Formats: sequence, structure tokens, C-alpha cells
Amino acid sequence: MAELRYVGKGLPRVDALEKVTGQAMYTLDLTLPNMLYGGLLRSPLPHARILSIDTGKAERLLGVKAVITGKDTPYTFGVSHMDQTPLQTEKVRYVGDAVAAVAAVDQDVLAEALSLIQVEYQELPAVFDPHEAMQEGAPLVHEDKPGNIASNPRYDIGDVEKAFREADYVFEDHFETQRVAHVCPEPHNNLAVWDASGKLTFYYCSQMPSVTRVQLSKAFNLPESRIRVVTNTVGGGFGSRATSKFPMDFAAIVLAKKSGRPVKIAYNRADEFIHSTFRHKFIMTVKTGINRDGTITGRHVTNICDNGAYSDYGPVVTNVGGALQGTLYKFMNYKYDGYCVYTNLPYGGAMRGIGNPQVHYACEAQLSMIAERIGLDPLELRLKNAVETGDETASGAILQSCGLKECLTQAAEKIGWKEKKANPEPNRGLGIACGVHFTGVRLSPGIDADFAGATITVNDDGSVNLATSCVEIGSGSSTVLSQICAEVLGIGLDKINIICGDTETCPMGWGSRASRNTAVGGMAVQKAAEDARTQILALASQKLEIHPDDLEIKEGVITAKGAPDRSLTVAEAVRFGRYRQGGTAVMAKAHWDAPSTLADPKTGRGNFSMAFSFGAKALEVEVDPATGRINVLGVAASQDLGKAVNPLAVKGQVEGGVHMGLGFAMYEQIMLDEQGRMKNPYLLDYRIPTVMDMPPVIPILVESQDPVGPFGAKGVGEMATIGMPEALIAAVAEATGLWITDLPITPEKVFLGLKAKKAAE
Amino acid sequence: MKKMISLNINGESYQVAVENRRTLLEVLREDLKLTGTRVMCNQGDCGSCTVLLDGVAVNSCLVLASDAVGKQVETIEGVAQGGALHPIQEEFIAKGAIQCGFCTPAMVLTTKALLAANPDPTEEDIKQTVAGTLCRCTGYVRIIDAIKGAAARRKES
Amino acid sequence: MKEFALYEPTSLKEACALLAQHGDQAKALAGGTDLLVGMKAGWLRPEVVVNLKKIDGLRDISFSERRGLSIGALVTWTQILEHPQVAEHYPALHQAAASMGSYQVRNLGTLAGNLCHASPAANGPVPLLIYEASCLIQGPRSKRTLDLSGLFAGPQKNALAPGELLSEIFLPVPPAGSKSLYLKFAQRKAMELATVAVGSLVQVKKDKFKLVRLALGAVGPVPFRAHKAEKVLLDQAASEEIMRRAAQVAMEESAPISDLRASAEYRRGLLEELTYRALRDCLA
Repeated sequence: MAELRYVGKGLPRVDALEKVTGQAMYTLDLTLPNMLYGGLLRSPLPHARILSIDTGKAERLLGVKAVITGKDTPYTFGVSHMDQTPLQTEKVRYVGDAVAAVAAVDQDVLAEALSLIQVEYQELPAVFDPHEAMQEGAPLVHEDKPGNIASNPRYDIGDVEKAFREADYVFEDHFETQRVAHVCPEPHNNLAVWDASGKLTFYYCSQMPSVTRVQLSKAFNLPESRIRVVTNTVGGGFGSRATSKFPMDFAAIVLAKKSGRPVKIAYNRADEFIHSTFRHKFIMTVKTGINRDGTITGRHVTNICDNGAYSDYGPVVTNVGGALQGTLYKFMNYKYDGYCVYTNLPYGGAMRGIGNPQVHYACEAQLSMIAERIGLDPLELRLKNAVETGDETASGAILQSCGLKECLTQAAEKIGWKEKKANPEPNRGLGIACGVHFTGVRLSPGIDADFAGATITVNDDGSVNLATSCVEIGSGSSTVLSQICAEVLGIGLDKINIICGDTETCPMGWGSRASRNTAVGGMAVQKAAEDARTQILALASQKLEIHPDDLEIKEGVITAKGAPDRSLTVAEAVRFGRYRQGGTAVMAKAHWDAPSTLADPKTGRGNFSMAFSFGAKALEVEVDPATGRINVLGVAASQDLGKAVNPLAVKGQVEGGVHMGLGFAMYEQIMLDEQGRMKNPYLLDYRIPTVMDMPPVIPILVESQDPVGPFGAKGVGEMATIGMPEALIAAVAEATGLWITDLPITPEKVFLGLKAKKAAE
Repeated sequence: MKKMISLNINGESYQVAVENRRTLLEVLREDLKLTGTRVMCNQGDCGSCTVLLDGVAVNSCLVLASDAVGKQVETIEGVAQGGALHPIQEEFIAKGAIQCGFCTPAMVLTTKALLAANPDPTEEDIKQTVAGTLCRCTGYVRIIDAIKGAAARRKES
Repeated sequence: MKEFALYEPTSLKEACALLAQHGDQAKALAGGTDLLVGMKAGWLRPEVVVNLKKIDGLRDISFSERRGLSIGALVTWTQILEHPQVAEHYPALHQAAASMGSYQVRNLGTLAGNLCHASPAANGPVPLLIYEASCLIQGPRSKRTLDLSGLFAGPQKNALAPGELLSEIFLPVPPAGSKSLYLKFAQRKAMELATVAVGSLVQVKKDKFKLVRLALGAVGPVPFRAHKAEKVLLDQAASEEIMRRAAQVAMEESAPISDLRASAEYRRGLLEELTYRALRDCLA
């Protein structure tokens, strides 16, 4: 391959200037003339029949411009199940379920109006525990869902029972994870405006505006051409904005219609914790068969996902949690039983890794436990079983690139695994864990597509407008896609204007989720850029009378290979094409569907992603046994990303992944009271790690050169956050002898665990 | 009942009618549309609304607008002068310290206050200063790099 | 936040008169880092806010070898942190200031406000208890001096009468040769309230404890001195055993609750260990 000029370079972000000067306009910053403030009235009860709603007093309040209830929002929606309506009419299903909405001239009037709406409820028995919810006779959250089962994804590959019978050892262990929040810095908010012709413009911080448009079109029975969804700068997404529409969004749109004025609804931080979804709580049992030499023979994972009152991504999360455990190690007997169970609690959604981090935690934690039990080195045990390039895994993934072993060995080396294992120090411990995540995914039955789009227009001066279906949510996608475009076209990065987040100008795509922007989005950009390049070279060929194959483009100049005196700028080529009789323009497009397949409905097997990213986390802790304090001394985080299109951006993403993983492992927890109200809806008591809590991080990039992705690239964002709790549990166990199997691993659990252990001795 | 107050923001004088309860953050974002000052928690727990009051970094959500009268308020909009970025801003870009960008204005302003008071900060000094501003994207590693870079450049010049 | 009437008196007397006039309806505003948070959340809904910031003479912090440290009501945590004699003579206060809130909050928040907020987990009370600080309380007609320990009436409840203001805090010069420190345990290393906090001041002569002061935070309705534990040590030879015993007594003196930051059981365990360490480290 020729030397790369843009790809592989740690170039500054294309959106850095607007962000560093404060000019960037997030949706939260947008206001419109005559705009109203909207808000929702929420249920104080976890499960209750609605007997009556009286909005009369609120409607009569000066400054109230619209009041709506479920009668005004007869829309059914959902992500995987259509089990939601924006405002409830029959019954409420969790503390916080929305029943009415108001638009008013200011926040004070809004708050007063909401307090004036009278709702009469008849309380119903509620269920707060997924185990209880599955029992016969338990209250039903949705009457049409017997046993409160939202979904029951299964994988059944090979013969797990036989694998257990033939194994030297079989171990079974239980693990639990907690609810954690995305904590997007910009809270969820929107701004709806209808113009005089009945066209809806919806300003919305979404990870997938084109999907939002499809959903709104269906709900409101409007042609998609009459809906514009605009996503400005986004203050973090992490999956919470992949839900693509919430009750607050329907409310804003309907209130705007009813009042005839623009309506904005913005969450405060407390709302954001509960009503923007969160990472589901999983309750897992892992059963593993293993031989004396460390060969894993098979594994069976049972997982109960506490869905909460509505499904959102719950069934997808439960499915993905199982999908990838058959793709990390070479064993070919794999079984997964997932239960996504409704309860009368707030509902979870998609969060960075979408179920995969939780199940990785359980399985990798158990593997470290097993290593201790059978006396094998946890690193060697992993290396012995690790999948490799060329493998077709139990799950059916065909690994065209796999740097798993390099990820493991490099992370171990950087943390000083061998030396430290050989010279253990009191109260210190090492932990290692590895993982796999997809790059885009094809897991939803009925949707056999995983695509992105890109269009390119080359202007008269040789500059480029590149429109992508990907949304820049902070991860650096706009920069990376611009680099790919610049590389293919041979045009300077400064000449490329990337446009994203506007359904009016951007092609349809599945937006920014599933670690797909660089690879799936990047392939669309690459294909469009190749098309544009062909068009440019065809024009240059006519002008220079040289075969296109003998031309090349560098920095916007087209030259004949080996004859640099015969040249033409891209601008000249474009103008040559345009300004003449019967002229033409350089306009290119691509819709790229990732080459992956849907799973076999019976076994769950399938090559469900275009590429698989691997990674490992190795870390060292020091524990103060007298207080339980855990100090993470350092983390080595390796990531097989195929090819780093922008190493600077990607290292930042890996470090950020460590930060979020550390929060999941040690600090963060949405605490609910017995009715499902959040007890800690403030950033003081919902603890995301501060800079003082961050250990030194060594990011390691493993470039396995994927044959499918653009320039060899695969996804990064989600794999980057997988692995922290599972590495931590092992390190803490080595330091203390305690295996803390319910997250988060807190000083209190260490302290009380050690105290109990001492008492038992 | 609103009263008129006069605020000096980024060297310019603004007259605003405010209620007593109005915070500086609300005046900046809502009345003056200086939306570069971000709001993440509005409770003093995140630091994203940081501005400088007479050069001192404070959470603008915890300051009544009337308490900013007679002081020099500096927001992110005032950091780049005459179209030229401040060296701190250049370092944040060069070191890859920006992702979603929501905490960036607060980080830049906090750095400015830190370096004015302590031109040669240790890593611990930097961390103590940054600890009041939460970032959800970067893991802070490159933010620390950028602040070190800004300190080094300040020393050179 | 609910709208309120705002008064900006220029003298303490005027401020006290306003506070007396409006009684329970009024709140005094110093740094605002507790008050405004409570008002935004709706926990506090005063009709009247008396802003103290226009009053002259409350921003001073000064030290003299004779009188000790004097801290005005508007002195911020940053002023305390940066005052050279605080670090030299009152290390426990310096440590409490360093671990207070955040950089930005330290620039706004005041020690006096922290004390009057009367949170059992606050940073201010514990070090001040071991330095046996006293407060100058200004009333509408008179002033009085109050031992700091008398200021705390319950969780988030101070002992000031309507119309009274804490105008100045005095810390006597610590006994010659004494050592003191503040230990705070919290989950994160910044932006935290204490799960448990311990302050200790120890003077040892001829290997015996001549003076011991221990103060505990977040293990009872108010921060308090652990007098029984202090007595265990007095005139005893310094040994690990006696310090462990005192720590156990301190634990028995405490009455922690379980809340979302920690269980009572964990708090007791932490307290015992932190008390021991606070004593041990004073001897080091």
C-alpha cells in the first residue's frame, strides 16, 4: 500500500475549534423565538390504575399554552417491543411513568401547572424483583406478557451437557451487576417546531436521527419528507441516545402542535439518571467445564436481566449479552439462557457494550476464579483458549482478523505481569481479563441490514462536502471519516467539510451505535470517495489525455504518474466538467451494508458482525485491609482495533473506556428504594471517578489489519470499556483472598468481607 | 420583581433585568445567550459551568447574578482574543484533550486560573484543580497532558 | 429556585436585625455552596435571603502567636488553604481545607457557612473541635462567645437563635509541642463528604500522653469530641495497645447510622481504624 497521508495520523479533531472556544451549539443551547417550555407529570406510584386525570386547573393557569394526556398521544412505540405509549391512559408501571405534559411560557408556570394536574390512582400490587416477577401469580406489568417475560434469547451450540460430563472439572458461580447510568454531560433535551405547512422540525440530541425520523413518521403518520430531525453537537451519548425517541419527545412534538409554538423539553440531572435509561442489572450464573490442562470444554450462562417496566433495548441487551461469549475462546459447546424480565422499576436501555460488559464480567471473573482453583496462571489459561484469526467460533463468528493473544500478552507485559507474579507483595494483586465486541451488528430478527451512507459533492474550488449518516457524539467520528475521505480522494483535510446529524442533508443510516462509525460508516465514506475519485480522474483523463489508471491525486493536485509536469488541480477538473455544453458534476454516494449474516433462529449461530474487536485489561491494585480502600495502581488497556485511523483519538477513547469501566467496577450505582425511586440522583452520591481517582493508564493499540474494514479498521468505543470489573475482581481477590461477585466492588464490601472471613477463622 | 444590574463580562458591560434568585449561570446562558458556559448538574457537583470571577474559578450555578456586580466575569467566549486561540486552547486541541467537548470550556478556564496563580504546577496541583470538573469521555489523561503543555508554554514565553 | 426577598446589609448589626425580623423565613448567605444547593433542590425555601457579602471586615484571616487564628465569616476555604500559618500551626484544618469539595467550591464556600450548615459529615467542625475553637456570635442587640461544640444542635441544625450570626471564628494557638491531623475517608479522592472523619491533637511528654483531643465526624447526629477515648490515653504510656483500646472506646462512643454512603457497621469499623491511625500518625 502506498504511504498513507491522513489515515494513521493523530490529527487534531475537525470539531475542536468550536468546542474549545465554546461556540459549539448543543441542542441544549438552542432556543427559538416564542418558544415554550415543556415538562412531564410523572407517576408517584410503581403500579396503579389511572382512574381519572383532571387537567382543568392547569389549563386555566395564566401562561399555560397546552396540556396533553394520553388521549393526545395515541402512539405505540418501542425499540424491540412496541410496549410503550408516551403518556399512560390505563395504568402506570413505575414511579416516573408519564401521564400528562404541559407547555408553558416559563419554567415557573410549567412547574405550577404540573402540580395542578390531579390524577386519581388505584394502587395495584407491584413486583420489584425479577425472580419474583417470573413466579406464577406475580403481578403482571404488561397483561399480555405472561410470567413478565419480555424475551428469552437462547444460544444452544454443540453439546454443553456432554462437554461438562467429559470435563475434569465443572464450576458454577453466581454474579450480579448493578444499574449504572450513562451520565451524558448534556442531559437529554429536544426542541420541536411545526411550520405553517405542517412540516415538523425536531432538534434532538440523537445518536441516530434518521431512525428517529422513521419512528416519528410512523407514529404521526407523516411522510418522512415532512419531518426534519436535526442533531447538533452532542454532549455524550454512550448508547442512551440510541433509543431514538422517548416519551419526552412525543410530548414536545404534540405540545408544539397543540400550542402552535416551538416547545423545548430538557431534563435536569435527576431526571436524566432515571428517564434516559441506564445499564440493566444482570443476575448471572456461569457454569464452565474445564480440563486439568486448562482447556475449556464448554460453558453455560444463565442471565436474568431486570428489564424494568418497558423494554426499550432490554431484549437486545439480553441477547447481546449472550451473543459474544461464544466468540472469545475456542470451546465449541456453548449455551445461553437469557431472561429479560419486566418489573415495576425504571427501565434500562442501551449502554456502551449493550449487555456485553455485564456478561463478560461474570464469565471472565469466573475464569480467574477457576485459574486460582485449579492452580493455573490466569494469563496462560486465557492464552491457551484464546480464539485466533481464521477461527469460526462457537457463536458462528468468522474471525478475519484477531489480535486477542497480542492484546493479552502486551497488556500483561506492560503491567509487569511476570515479574510481579513471581514476587508477590502483601496486599497487592494483579488482575487480567479480555474481551470481544462487534463492529456493527446484525442481531435483530427481521432486519437483515447493517448499513451506513455517505454522499460527496466536490465544489468548484476542489473542496469537498461530505455528508454522513454517522453522528459525532464525541468519539471523533467526524474527524476519522474526514481522514478516510481525504486519504481516498487525495484532498487535504482542511478542504473537507463534514456534515452530520441532519436528515435533510445526510443519507439514511443506523447512526452512531454498536462501535460502527469508523468501520461501517468509514466504508460508506471510502466507497463514496472512491466513486468521486473515479469521476475526478475521468475528467482529468479527458483534459490531460492520459489514462485514469496512470493518474494520481495528492493534496488536490492530479498528476501523471512519473510525469509530474503534466498536472491539473482537482478544482480545475471539476470546473472542466461543469462549465461546458452537456457538462457534469462530481457527486458521489454510497450505501454500504456490512457483510454479516443473521443468526440461525434455532441455535443462535451466525456471523453477525463485519468484524470483531478484541481487547484486554491488566491492572494492579493495592488494598488497605483495615479500611477496605482499593487503590488501582495502574491499568494497561490493549485494544485490537484493526488499524488506528487516528491514534490520538483512539487512545483517548481507550482511556475514557477505562474511566467508565472503573466507575462500573468500583464507584457507580443507581440506588433505588423499595418503590423504585432513585436515592442518589445527584453527582455527589452517584460517583463518576474524578481525575484524582484515575489510575495511570497505558493504552496499547494492536493493529490486526482487518480485511473488510476501511484501511483495516474495526470498532473501538464499546470494547474500550469492557474488562475493568473483571480485572479488578481478580486483582482484589489476589490482594485480599475475597471474591466480590456483586458489583460495584467497594471498600465497604472488602472491609466487611474481610471481617466476616476473620470471624469465620 | 426584577431589578436592573450591570455586569462586566469579557470586558463588555451588560445591563440585565433579573430576579433575586437568578444565578450567574442563568443570566449567561439564558439572558445573554453566552451558551459556551455549560450546565451539567446545576448543583455544584460537576464544574461544567465554571467561569472566572476576578480571575477566580467558581461554579456559576452557585453564584447569584447580583453577586457578580462589580466583578470581572470571564467566560469561555472571552478566552480567545482577537480571533487567536489562547495557548491553553491550542494545547487542548493538540493533545487530544477534547471529545464531546461539554467539559472543555470549564477545563480551559480552570487551567487559566490555575496557571495565573501557580505558573509551575505539579501534576498533583493540576489534578487537585481539575478534580472539580467531571469529564465522561476522556479519562482525563489527555486533559492533564494539555495542562502540562500549557504550563510549559507559559514558562517559555 | 423560589424567588425571595434579597437584602444586602453593610453592617453586621443591620444583618442581624433583618434576620431577627424575618425569623424562620430568613437565611443568611455567605459562600452559597450549601444554601443555594438546598434552595435549588427545594429542601430550603426561605422567603428572605440576607446576603452577607457587602459587610466589611468579614473576609479577614489573621494569625498572631499570642491570640491564635481568627477567621472572619466570609473567609473562603481557599484563603484558609493558602494561609501559610494555617499549614504551619493548624495542619488538621489545612488538611480539611485541602479535601473540601472542589477547587471551584473552595473558592466560593466559607468555613463559617460550613459550620453553620451543621452537617455531621462536613469538613469544618472536626479540625476545629480539636483546636477548641470558639465562635463570636453576633445578635441583634449583643454578642456572645460560644464554644464550637455548642454550635451543633443536630443534623443540619445549628444552635443560633433567630437574628444571630456567626461572625468570627477563633482558634487558640495549639499547645506547644502538640501534633494534630485530620483524616477523612470517602469513596472518591475528591468531591466528597466524609464517610467517616477523625481529627486528633496529641501532646506527648516523656513518652506519656499529656494531652489528647479526638473529634469525630459522620458517626453521630453532630460532630463531637470523643472524651471517653481521650481519657483512656491520658497520662498513659504511648503504645499501640493503648491506642487501639482508645480507638475502640471512640467507636463505642459513636452512634453512626446506615445511609446511602455506608452502613453503620462499616462506619464503626472505619472509625476505629481511623482513630487509631490519627493517634499513631500524631506520634510519628
